[in-house]
Amino acid sequence: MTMSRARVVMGAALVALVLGAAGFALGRQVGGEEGSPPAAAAGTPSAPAATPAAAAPTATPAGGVDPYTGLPLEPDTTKPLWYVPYSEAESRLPLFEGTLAGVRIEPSPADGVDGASSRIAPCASYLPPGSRSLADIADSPVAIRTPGIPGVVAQPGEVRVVACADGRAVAAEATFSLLPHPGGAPRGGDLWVFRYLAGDPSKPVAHVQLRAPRVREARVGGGPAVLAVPPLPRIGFGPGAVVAVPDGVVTVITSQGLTEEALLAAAEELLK
Amino acid sequence: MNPRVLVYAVALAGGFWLGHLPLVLDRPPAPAAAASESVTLRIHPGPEQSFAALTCSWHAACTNPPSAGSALDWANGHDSWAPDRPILWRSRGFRSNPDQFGAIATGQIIQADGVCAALRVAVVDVFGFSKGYISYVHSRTWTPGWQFSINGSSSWQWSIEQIGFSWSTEFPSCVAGGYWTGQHLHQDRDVTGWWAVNWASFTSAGVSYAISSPENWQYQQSWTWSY
Repeated sequence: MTMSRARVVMGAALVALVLGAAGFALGRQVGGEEGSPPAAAAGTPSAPAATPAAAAPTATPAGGVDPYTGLPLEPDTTKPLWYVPYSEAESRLPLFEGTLAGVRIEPSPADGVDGASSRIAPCASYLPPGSRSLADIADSPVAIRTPGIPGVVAQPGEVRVVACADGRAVAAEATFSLLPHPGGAPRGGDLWVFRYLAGDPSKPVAHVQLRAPRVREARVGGGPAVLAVPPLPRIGFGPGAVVAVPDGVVTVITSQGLTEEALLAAAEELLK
Repeated sequence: MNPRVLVYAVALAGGFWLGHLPLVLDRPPAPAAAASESVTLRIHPGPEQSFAALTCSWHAACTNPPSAGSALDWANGHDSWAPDRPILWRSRGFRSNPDQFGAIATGQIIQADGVCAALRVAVVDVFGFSKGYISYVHSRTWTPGWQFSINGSSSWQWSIEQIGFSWSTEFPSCVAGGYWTGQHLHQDRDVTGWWAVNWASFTSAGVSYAISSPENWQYQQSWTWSY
């Protein structure tokens, strides 16, 4: 009799256990429909998903694909590292070498450093470095003025002036940093300016690395010029350049981050 | 009611509740509010050897006395007996979020031949915003336009890349203009004002420094991301 009752209790407990397990399974299933994330996702580091609100980018061009890289001209700039494919594709494009707008463009000295000796007009003797500032040479043919680009840092950096012993400047270079501004470099950048009297005015040479598909002839500052259009001309990402030889003064302007419009405006001003 | 049925009902309901309970506990938290993260990037000197001789302390042009500026001149080989020695990008990056690591920026190598031959590394953060550049003068590169990852972590992550080499010769304009008297590395920063300079260090020309030591950074910049 005792054994029989024990069996009944055990049987009831077993049924209760089975029902409890069934209830548990049902509970999981019902709860699962509400959706819980995969366990792995909870601790996975995620990249930031939005750009900081430091600067508002300019409007992007309406759709389209870059014919030279196959990349869209309207990238999703909210994604981290969105620009990496653009930089990589740009670095694979061939470098331009040739004569355009009256100036020979060489990516690097064609015949070594000796060939470069004819690039800049020589002096019989020279002033020591740092003897002349940009202000000192403001009236010289190689003068460099701070361009009025929105966001420009007025103080130029890395200024180098080469001047003859008589004080005449034959070459000058300066870099202008650009803080983010929609009217200049929407994500910040810089502008490098290098001006020099051509060693051979009949065959001016510039050593500058321009990507061939970006190069075209344009009129800037009232004269012919070589223009290298930035790869995202309206967004203002990547390199751009203007090279011109007004009155025998070779002027090389390269930019990082400027829109095409801002680059041309700066070049107009610098070539006046 | 039959008590056995009651026990079964309680068992079924209890099981259901227990089955549902864990999903309550492991539901995702409510969407987080906008977070911010602080980032610091320190740039170290670029000579090939990690124990390098300083040949000119802070200057713009290494005249006597040097003109005021934020550049340093480093020995990096010699034009006669150790020409064209590599230049290394050395940086350490910090980011405050311990769950985030890897790229905080990229560096793009740019050859800019002016009065002197020069390299620049344009620093762009992962969102595509410029963080200025570091320049390496009297230098050339075989890899113009290439870019590399600049990393960071909450325990300071190193990034080391060969970006070019100290040229064993220079343009005549650089030599004649007095900016170059032999192979060396002139390293400077841009003028955005974003880069802080480690003025307290590297004050003794002729002294060799352990340029990979954490305290021996040359320039530093911090910024904050909100996301």
